[in-house]
Amino acid sequence: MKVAVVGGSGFMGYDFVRALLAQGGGAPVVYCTHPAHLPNLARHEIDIRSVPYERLAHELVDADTGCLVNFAHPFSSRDGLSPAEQITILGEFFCRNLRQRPSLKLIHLSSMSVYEPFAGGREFCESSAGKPPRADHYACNKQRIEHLLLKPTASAPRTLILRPTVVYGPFCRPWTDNLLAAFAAGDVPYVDLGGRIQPLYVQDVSRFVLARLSDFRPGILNMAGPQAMPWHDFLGFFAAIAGRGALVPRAAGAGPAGRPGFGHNVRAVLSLLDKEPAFVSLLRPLVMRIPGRLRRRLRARFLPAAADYRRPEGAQGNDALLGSPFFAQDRLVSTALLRRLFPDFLFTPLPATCETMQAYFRFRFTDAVYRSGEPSAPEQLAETRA
Amino acid sequence: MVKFEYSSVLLVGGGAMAIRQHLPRLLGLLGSRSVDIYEADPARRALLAAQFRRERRVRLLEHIDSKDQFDLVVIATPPRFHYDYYRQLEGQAERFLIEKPMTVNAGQAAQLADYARSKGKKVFVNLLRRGLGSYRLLRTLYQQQEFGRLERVQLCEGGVFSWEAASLGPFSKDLSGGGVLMDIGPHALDLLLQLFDELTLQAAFMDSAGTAVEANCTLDLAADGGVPVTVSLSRNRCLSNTTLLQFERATCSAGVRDNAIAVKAHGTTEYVMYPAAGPGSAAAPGFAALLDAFYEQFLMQGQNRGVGPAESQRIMQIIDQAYATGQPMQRVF
Repeated sequence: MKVAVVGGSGFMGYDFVRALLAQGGGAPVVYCTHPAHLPNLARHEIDIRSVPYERLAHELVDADTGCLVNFAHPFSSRDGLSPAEQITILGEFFCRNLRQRPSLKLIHLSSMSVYEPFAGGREFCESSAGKPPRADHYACNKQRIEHLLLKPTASAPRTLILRPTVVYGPFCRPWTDNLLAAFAAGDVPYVDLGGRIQPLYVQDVSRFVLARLSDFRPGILNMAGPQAMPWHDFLGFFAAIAGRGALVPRAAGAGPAGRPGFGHNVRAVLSLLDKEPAFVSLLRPLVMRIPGRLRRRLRARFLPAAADYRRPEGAQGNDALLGSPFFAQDRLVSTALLRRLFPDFLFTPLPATCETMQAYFRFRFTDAVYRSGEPSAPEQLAETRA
Repeated sequence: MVKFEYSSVLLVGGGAMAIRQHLPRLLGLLGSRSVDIYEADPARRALLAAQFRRERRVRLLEHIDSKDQFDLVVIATPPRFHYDYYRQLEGQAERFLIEKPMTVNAGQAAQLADYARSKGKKVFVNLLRRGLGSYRLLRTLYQQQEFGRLERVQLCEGGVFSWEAASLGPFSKDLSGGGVLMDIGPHALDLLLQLFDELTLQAAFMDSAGTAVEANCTLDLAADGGVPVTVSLSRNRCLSNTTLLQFERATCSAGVRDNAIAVKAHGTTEYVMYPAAGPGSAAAPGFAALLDAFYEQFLMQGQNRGVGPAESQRIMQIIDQAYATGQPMQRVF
């Protein structure tokens, strides 16, 4: 059976393709809309098809394709198309294929972001309705493609939508690479990391999707890691792996000799207020009316959007990495439905990934020399340079 | 001062390297009055024709007229086509700029070098790191044994692949001949050949097999008869992009993409040896500045010493041997 994969060059897509190859029994056919991010995939002898967005809407997967798995999400404009236009094309591609291939099934990787804005202490279930702020393009577009997929009633029984939480693991830029790189560079200041999340290991997503190829169940499912934890614990895990920098509370605006200055006091009051959703809600329309640079600064503070944190590598230094109220907000989902449907499926706790993540750090961020196996001891001398 | 005039140029290839890097330099640095672009793919050609419809000096060709003569032919296609285009266009220009790697194998490289020599053609291969003065200084330090005997060398170059490729070319064994070794390997080996007179491959390891292309490659080499050299190249690892030279009494660290040399003598703190402070001594020239320097130093002077076919032939011999004898590297991630 062929498995068509869209977004196979991203970190989740690549992990899934590797898992599929390792398991056997399914031949991946990767549809690639842009050839810039293929080094990982191109190492494998697999069928990679270059299909730019302009052609994608009219593309049909091979007749012997059993399942179409989508990991793609357009973050930025490409080939003159805005992310929203790319979403429309993706939606057309999936719907057209489901229409014309009656036995085809679709597994679509959405996101917990569709529940934005989150609320402290509340676990959002699959039927919860989110209303992401317009500025949160990532969440809005995730919602949009879900609507496109669920609209044709005929294809709904053959569509599974997964809404994973914060996914981490090898090659994940926002929640692994940027964190490891930041802690490898030094200390990372933060303001408030009290928001709780349920981090999900990428290999759990791959295992779950693989299992659904042979045991398909349509519908919408939240996917979350087994533990709810504050951002502080999650980020501390990466600090320990990088082994250099640490999380340090930000002492912004402190005056000479450590006495709090005027600026510090203003910021302290604001930081208390901006945890209050009502205050943020009142301020948002005002912030939108402020022109220029001040508006951009305030937007970053008062319009937290998941998309803001998917910045290009190196775009922000350590100072800017964790300074936002995004990390103060709980982002929790209910996994009751998933546990009821798949009681035997086990998710990996964060500490259990430690050895793999250490090996990944060494691979990704050091000069360790790899030959046929693990790096040999004398050459580890050079690692410190990276 | 421009010594050589390149009034009419033929640019073969319409990919990112040709259009974003060479074309602006042909029009700007060389002041070419007409640049004809030949791109074989009709869809891409139409896109480029629309892009340059207001640029009078640029013309998109549907085919290359064999009667046309050019001051310079730039070949910036996937490597598989370099040799064939050179042979096809040999009679239509005296000077050729060919993207690296010059060819996809050592056999073609030897033939191209022979043809160029026998026909008196000047071929420049875009080995732009010849512009890094730091490696000339390192060679002097090594030859004069400034820090004692050279014991070991480690060159690491790699980053997350971010080239805005226009096609699957960089990931196709058929079009490019390989992966990271074909891509940044020529630059890395060129740096080492600036340091050493001889470079012999001992072993090669790659994380691909069959028709796939490698993202990681490790080469074990012996320099000048005995100095062990390890080269790590990657498209998916954030490597330090440095060459480490371990001498008896000190360790020198040199950038592979910049001019910086840092020295740490045993028992002392590290200091920056090169470049000396002053105008024009930028430590990190960057790709654009290196390419500018390549144009100025070689094309505009009309001399190809260090960047001619002979150097590429040596590089391709090592690369060929690496692909022929390469052992599988465990794919850790």
